Amino acid sequence: LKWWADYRRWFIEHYDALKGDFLVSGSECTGGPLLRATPRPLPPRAPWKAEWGIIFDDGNYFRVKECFNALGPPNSGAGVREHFSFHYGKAHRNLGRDGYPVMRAADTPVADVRIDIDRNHDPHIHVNSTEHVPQRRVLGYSIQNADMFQFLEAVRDHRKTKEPLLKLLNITVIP
Amino acid sequence: MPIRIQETGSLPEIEQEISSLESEYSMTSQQFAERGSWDGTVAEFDAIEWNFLLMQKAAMERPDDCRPTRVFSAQCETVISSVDANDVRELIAA
Repeated sequence: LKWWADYRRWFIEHYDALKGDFLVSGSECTGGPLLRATPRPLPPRAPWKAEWGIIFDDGNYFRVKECFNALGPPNSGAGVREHFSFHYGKAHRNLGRDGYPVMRAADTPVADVRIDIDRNHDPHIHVNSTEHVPQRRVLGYSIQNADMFQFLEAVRDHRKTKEPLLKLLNITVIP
Repeated sequence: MPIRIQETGSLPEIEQEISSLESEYSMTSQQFAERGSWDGTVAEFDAIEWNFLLMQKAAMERPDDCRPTRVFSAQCETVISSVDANDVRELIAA
């Protein structure tokens, strides 16, 4: 359970701390960084979303997006995170209308790693595949509690050190 | 680039964005809601966006509810009943 003002402050602080590492070898997708809240009734409140993406000069990219829906009485303004997707991998060469690499083309590369919570599937990850790997096969990592900036810090470290991204996230996938 | 922070917007703008997604996928919001669209038909990020827009539209359509809650009303009544009528007359006179 979060409030927009707190979330906004949190995002800005972490964005400012991380952007320097990423922008050295990448360029931001025009669709982000974006924070968007619901303007009425004042003050701004849930539902809100955040998204950000950077395409690196080696052809990889990350894209992160999370959405908080309203929770509780209408005037509480509180939000709970219901959907998110944290993606890292090869970018399609074409950009979509939203400013990010297209994801629906037949030749869209699969993600190196993508962590998802969506409406109809249990929390899951993708690892070099379209296969959904559910939480029960993921050890050492809570998908439900996945943190956007911890994911991005792992991406940064992976790019610097070449350590496997799964290892940096402390993820073990079992059969 | 600086973070874009959007804290304003209108219902027609949101409805336009929903229409764009519906056109892109040749699906109505009803179809999206019924099928869930998490079956691979809709890209993950678009599905999140679609759901966000529908939630935001619902929030924008909801009338502002400024009526006090029952608890708040009871508190008000307690405070009002404790006010001395003479104090109120003095305040009005002042």
